[in-house]
Amino acid sequence: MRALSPSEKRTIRYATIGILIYLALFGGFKLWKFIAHRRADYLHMVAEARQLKIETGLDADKAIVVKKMMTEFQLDPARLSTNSVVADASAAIQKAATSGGVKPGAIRESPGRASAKELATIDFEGSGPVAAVISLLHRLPLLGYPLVIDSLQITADAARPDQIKLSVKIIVLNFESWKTTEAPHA
Amino acid sequence: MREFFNPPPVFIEINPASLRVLRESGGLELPLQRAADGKLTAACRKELISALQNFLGRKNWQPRVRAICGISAHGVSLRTIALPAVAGGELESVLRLQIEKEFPLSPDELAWGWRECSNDPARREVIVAAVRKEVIEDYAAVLSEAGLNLEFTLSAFARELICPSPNEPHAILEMGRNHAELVSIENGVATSLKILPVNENLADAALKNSPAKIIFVSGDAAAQSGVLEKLSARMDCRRLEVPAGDGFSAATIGLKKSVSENIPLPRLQSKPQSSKTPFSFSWTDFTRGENRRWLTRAAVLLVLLLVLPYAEALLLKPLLGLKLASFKKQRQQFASVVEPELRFLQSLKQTQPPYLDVIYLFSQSAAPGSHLDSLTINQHGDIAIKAAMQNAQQVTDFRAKLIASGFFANITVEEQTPIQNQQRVSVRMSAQWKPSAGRAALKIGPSPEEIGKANSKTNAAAAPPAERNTKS
Repeated sequence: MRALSPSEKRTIRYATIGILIYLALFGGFKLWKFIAHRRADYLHMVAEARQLKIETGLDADKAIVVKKMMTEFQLDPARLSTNSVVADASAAIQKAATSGGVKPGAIRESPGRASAKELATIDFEGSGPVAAVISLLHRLPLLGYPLVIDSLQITADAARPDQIKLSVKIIVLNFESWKTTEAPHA
Repeated sequence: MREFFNPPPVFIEINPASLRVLRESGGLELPLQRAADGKLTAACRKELISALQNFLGRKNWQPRVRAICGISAHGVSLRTIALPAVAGGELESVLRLQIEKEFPLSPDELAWGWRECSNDPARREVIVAAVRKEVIEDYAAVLSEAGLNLEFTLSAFARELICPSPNEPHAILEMGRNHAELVSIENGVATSLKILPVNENLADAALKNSPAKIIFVSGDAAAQSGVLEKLSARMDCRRLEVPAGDGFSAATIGLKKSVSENIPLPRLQSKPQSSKTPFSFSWTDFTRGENRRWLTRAAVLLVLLLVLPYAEALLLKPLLGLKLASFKKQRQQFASVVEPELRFLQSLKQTQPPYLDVIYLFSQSAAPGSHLDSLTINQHGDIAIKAAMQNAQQVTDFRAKLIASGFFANITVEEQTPIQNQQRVSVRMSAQWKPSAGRAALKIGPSPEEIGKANSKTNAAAAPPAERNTKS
């Protein structure tokens, strides 16, 4: 192999330096792009974490509201069972009526409308003094079951002037329906 | 490029009759003309400035050149001062007090510097060199105008640096044309400084004023006057070899050595060092070790500043990702429990019809003697009532009160029929309550007084008959 002339050596040297510079710039650009991309991702995650922190504060507020409403209704939805809630609610209504001085009459249970998130409907009839009937109406939503009075009828008892007759239609709500329902849009 | 922004320092020896400047590239020697008071003449100043500017070749935008100047011993006093053991920060103030005591002038009127000469922590001794402030200021004014950034010391201290260091005490005799400087050195520290006239008795005077047995002689006139021979005959006398050429002297070479080997020399300063040091271009001289260290620290900090945000992203991203994922999962679990419960309870609250409010309003609005036959209400707010009242006016009043309550959207008397020979009126009415938004602002329900009254009545009714009689 013939020896390279100084001019050829210089050309090779310059070419090598040029290639090295190109590789350094190209690699540096790639590396820079990679690091910048990672940093952008990281900043995005930091922003997401901040947003989550704000939302966690709202969650805490929601938990407080839930606790307050559970106390207000004396109701814990997590402890309710779909299978037994109608029976338990019916028993609780009768017990509340009896203990409050209302004499229970006919009681009829029928299945509720699923579309209206109802589990069952209880028709309750009874009679008793005015104060006892009013007290029962007051206590019905607070028995610890998801009860809503759909309609009520109060009539005078002709046989006993000091007493009135009460006929209420009570809906037992199906709380399981709310687990599958999306949150309503504001 | 570094020299372009940080020109190399120059080393200057100022004698009574001449000024020597030494730089890496060469040297310069200029004669000095002094007035009767010892200050430089105006013409001499002008020439000096012009010559130095030409020699330095500094552009106006370039930083000032650092200059280490050694002044001659004329007018300089050297004292050894013993100091009590004090903390480092208080040393300067204690020293000022001692200078006030030892020197005829106050420290503010002097340019002074010091160097510790004993290593005994219990008894500190320092050598203080001081000269009238005007001497330094006179030189400083000229040299500053030439573009120099000045530091002053004693030439005698610089000469000591080029002596081959014998352990024994020695002396250095710098011979000028008219005067000679004799400095005695013990343990590497100058202990006395004398100005001697150059005459035939110089050798005797040198022997008389220095107890040292070794003497180093320097200066241009050393070879001419025969002093070297006279001293050699009586003691160990050696010549300090200095290269020939402009700017070269024992002092300038010593000053150069102090910079290159970073050997500190006592600096003569006319003001105490302020805590607020103004900017000096000597800070940009990165040949100085200290400046280099600061530059390295600054560079490291700058690199950290640029790199840390990216390093944070590279290092912490996986960790943050894991934490975020775990947190999102927990939040989802939480939401899957709380959200339905919240919606359910809110719905339950909103769907509770205000039956008791309706009954309360009817009871409040009905006149005494009214008889309720039936009341029907449903969840949608439809109300139907059938009652018997004493007359038509009571029906009107009843209806008016219900309207005034603001609770009902409409109230209709569907049928009103007199019964029992016009003694009573049978009435059938229907009503519709307002939507929940319309009822929200209303205050309905028994007041606290009414509740208290009702409770007392209930208690009285529940009490046994005997007890009731006792109470009445």
